[in-house]
Amino acid sequence: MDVLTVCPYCGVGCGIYLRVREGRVDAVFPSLNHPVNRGSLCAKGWSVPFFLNHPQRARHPLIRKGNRFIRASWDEALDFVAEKLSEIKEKHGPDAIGVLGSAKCTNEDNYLIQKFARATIGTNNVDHCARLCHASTVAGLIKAFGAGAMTNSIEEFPEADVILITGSDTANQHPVIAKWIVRARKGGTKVMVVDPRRTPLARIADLYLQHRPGTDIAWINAFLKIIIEEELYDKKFIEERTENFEELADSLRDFSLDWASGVTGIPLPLLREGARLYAKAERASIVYAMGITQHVSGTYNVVSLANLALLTGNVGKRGTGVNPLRGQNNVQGASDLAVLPDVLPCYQKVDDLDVRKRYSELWGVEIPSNPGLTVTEMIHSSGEKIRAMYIMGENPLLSDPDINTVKRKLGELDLLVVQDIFFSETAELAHVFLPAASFAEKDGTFTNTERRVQRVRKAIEPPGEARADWRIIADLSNRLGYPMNYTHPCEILDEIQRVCRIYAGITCDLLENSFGVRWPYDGKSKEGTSYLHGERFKTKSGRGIFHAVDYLPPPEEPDETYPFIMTTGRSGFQWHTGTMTRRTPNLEREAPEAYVEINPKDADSLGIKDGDRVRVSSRRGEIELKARVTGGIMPGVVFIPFHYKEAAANLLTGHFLDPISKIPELKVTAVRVEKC
Amino acid sequence: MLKINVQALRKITGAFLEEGKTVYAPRHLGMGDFAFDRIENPDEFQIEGFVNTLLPPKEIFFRQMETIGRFGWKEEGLCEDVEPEIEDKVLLGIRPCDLEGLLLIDAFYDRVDADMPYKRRRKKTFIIAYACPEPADICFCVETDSGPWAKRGFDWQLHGLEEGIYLLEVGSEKGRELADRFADLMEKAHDGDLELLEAKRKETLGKFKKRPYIKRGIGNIKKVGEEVYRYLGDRCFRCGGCNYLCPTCTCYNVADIGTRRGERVLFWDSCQFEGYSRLAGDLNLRPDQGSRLKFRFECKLAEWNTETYGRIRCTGCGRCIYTCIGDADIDLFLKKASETWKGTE
Repeated sequence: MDVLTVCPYCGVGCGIYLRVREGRVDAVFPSLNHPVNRGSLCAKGWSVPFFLNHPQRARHPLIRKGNRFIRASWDEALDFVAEKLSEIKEKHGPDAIGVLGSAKCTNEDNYLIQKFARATIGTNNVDHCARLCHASTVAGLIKAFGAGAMTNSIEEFPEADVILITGSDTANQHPVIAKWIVRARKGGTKVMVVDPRRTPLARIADLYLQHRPGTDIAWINAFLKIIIEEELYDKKFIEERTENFEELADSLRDFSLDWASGVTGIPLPLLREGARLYAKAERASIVYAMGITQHVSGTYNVVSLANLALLTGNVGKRGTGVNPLRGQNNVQGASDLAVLPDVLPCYQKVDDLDVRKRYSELWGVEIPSNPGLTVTEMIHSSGEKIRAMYIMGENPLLSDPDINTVKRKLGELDLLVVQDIFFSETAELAHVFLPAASFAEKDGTFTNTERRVQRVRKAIEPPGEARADWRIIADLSNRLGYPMNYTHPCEILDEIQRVCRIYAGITCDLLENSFGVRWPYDGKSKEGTSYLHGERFKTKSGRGIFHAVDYLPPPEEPDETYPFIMTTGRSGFQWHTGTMTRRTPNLEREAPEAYVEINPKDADSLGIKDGDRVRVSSRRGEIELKARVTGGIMPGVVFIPFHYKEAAANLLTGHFLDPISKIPELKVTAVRVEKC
Repeated sequence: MLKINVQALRKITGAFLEEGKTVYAPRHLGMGDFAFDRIENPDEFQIEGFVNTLLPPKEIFFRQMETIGRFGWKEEGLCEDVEPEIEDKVLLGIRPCDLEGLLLIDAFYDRVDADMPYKRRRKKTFIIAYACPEPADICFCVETDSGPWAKRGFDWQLHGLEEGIYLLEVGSEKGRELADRFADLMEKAHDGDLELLEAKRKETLGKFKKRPYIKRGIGNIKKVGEEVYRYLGDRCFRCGGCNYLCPTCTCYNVADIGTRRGERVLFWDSCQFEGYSRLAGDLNLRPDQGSRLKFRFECKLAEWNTETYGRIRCTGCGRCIYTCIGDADIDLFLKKASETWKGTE
């Protein structure tokens, strides 16, 4: 039996079939006709069955007794959690409880968990890992366009004349989107890459600009200045569809291109070439990811890219736009459905009285009015303001910055509940562990990076006593006195499409014989909305808004003690904290150990040869790992993937937050490199 | 030649199922996707109206991943083999390119005296091939002598005359016996049918895209310069899809999943992974993607390997072309390989 579902790894949302034999998934293959992947998968997608069948999959609820975990029944575990949560709520108030949803779980799971936080517990302390990836995208694109999502669709890449890729190692992190870009290039599209690392797409790009990490606003402002100076901007578009252009132009009047070239490390002629290439295109598309967002200036990096698109009229038509590539399979959905502390479903501000009134009526309880804490804030106030945390499908002990502190803080909680498919590093600190069903063991929907809501189908039974996340949350909520009586995730989706405008009309029936629908769904077109902002922007005025943006240097500049900039990222063969991929033999073989990429010049001066063990240290910690000497990274910069607990890059990163989106600075850390 | 219609074919399939045979055939999964899989009743199969299934039917014999043993440490003391199930199988509707693929994998395993799940499963298989009436854009079996109709390896082969009506060609003694058994469900083909078949075949051949560079490229494979491999190596993003979907690839790896207790699993491997050719001490004899691609193309096409099999190990199914997430497929390679062609046609 072959069951059509959606790949659980990245936000591309490839359609896959799971082949079930005797109750197990023993093969996976791509859909040939799926509009996103059309017969392709990446190495991770091809390896999905391994983690599903892994003998370490969590099978039973566990309760900590002293230093040991004792197997418990569901009733015991849920009763225990309910009792503890009630106690803490009574003693310290609802805001002493923090809840983390998960971009790996379904829309239905996530909708319920934020409803659980807000309606059952009574707090807006609910967030998820989008805080660590595209929180700045949501904030930035809402400022400029009024909607925090990929403006255009994957299928439109071949229609672009120029694709500008920045801060995205697309071939490794969104391989199937790289396929579209490579095919577009074959069809005549010009590809430009701006990135501190010479990524696989940079190697085949028509133009590659290598900039120092954290200097994005400088090169983007340089592009803006050149485009204005050379009058390459779209006057008609600016007049008819935007506001605030004068403010932007004024802010750039004294901007020095020589200074920008110096600070970014990109020679001025290349800055000019890049700006012209982008501006002269009939249709130009911007693609970006973590290299733009994970900075203290993350929100303004995104706003700057939006400036670029608005200035050249590259929004609101096919083959253009500002296109964030979302990391997790369902980070778009988890954000849409408000697993965020400041909004209710569909990005409606929680501090807006009318919004709260509407949801209070829908949910039958008073909605708390003060925005809650973010992931990083919750963890850092653990043991103080926050007394209990409920973590569904996340592993902050490896994914969050400065993990020595994370470990200490989580250890100070009165109650830590972890719900996951494997007993993760974070679970080791838990008081209660609840085993969850994986994507192949439950029904629901995921929303991919291009807003495509797709059906996830149950192919097999969960291992042992593991249960679907939505069911666990509902059972717990019922115990806490707020009834959640759903019998199937389709009922939850039905509630979602009634309370959340952009999901209106999207039901299980609609998704049944379909490869998904991109929100907003107009009730007519088979695949929903291809691109946003066609007629008007989603801002109050309906116009795209320019913002003058000043360059903000990274919080840690290299100095004598820590002379290198460390930037973090991922390998194409491991996924985040490795919960799934490190249990997958062919992926683990391909990327078995941590490494630090270092330029040959730097390696030479430190006496380091390729393959040597080196020590990398920052103000917060040190790790030992293997050196990979490569010309692909610029002198003065080193790169470390963050997957490996043996040499966790996040021991080194710091707790510096973007003041608007609270995303941590994960891309620039001052470090020292020594031979061991 | 005999003549048979689809209703009769379903009756025969029903008889197979009734007597306990396992039948594998293409099935419509919805929205134009087809898969070759076990069917439970004779109404489930659909052999025409699409070019080919995404996974080659080799997956039935050589599984993407399968448990070959279980172990438990300490108190469990478990250590056991897991045997593949042996069924009396019928493969209905296999395309000629995939059939040739199976024959090539057979030849590979004939060289080794190992008790592999593939070999066990491959025994007792009755093959009903389906000659392709219509190539996809990426099909090139005409250039690799493996289609659009099969010349060997089948028990029966179906040639479509019109929708639901086929000429049945018997290809083996076993095929003859079964055709006799079901004689009342078939009729003898007339001269007119055979003429129609000839016309149809000609029409089919005419639909293939002309690819003269394929034979030239293969002939030139020893002379392909390093720059070609470097170029393609830059464009390969190591998904492994070309190997996984190849009807002739045989490489597998074995790993133990779990520590204290778990399973020994045999699974598809890909020579495009860096780890595939990595030796102890991180030495790699194929250190860059170009050299790994060179290995794959040569494994399929170069004499050092193909002379053992009497033919090249590519059957022109085209799957590796459309699944490629980079731009490093065999079609592009052969185009580039043919550029320096100095021989004669």
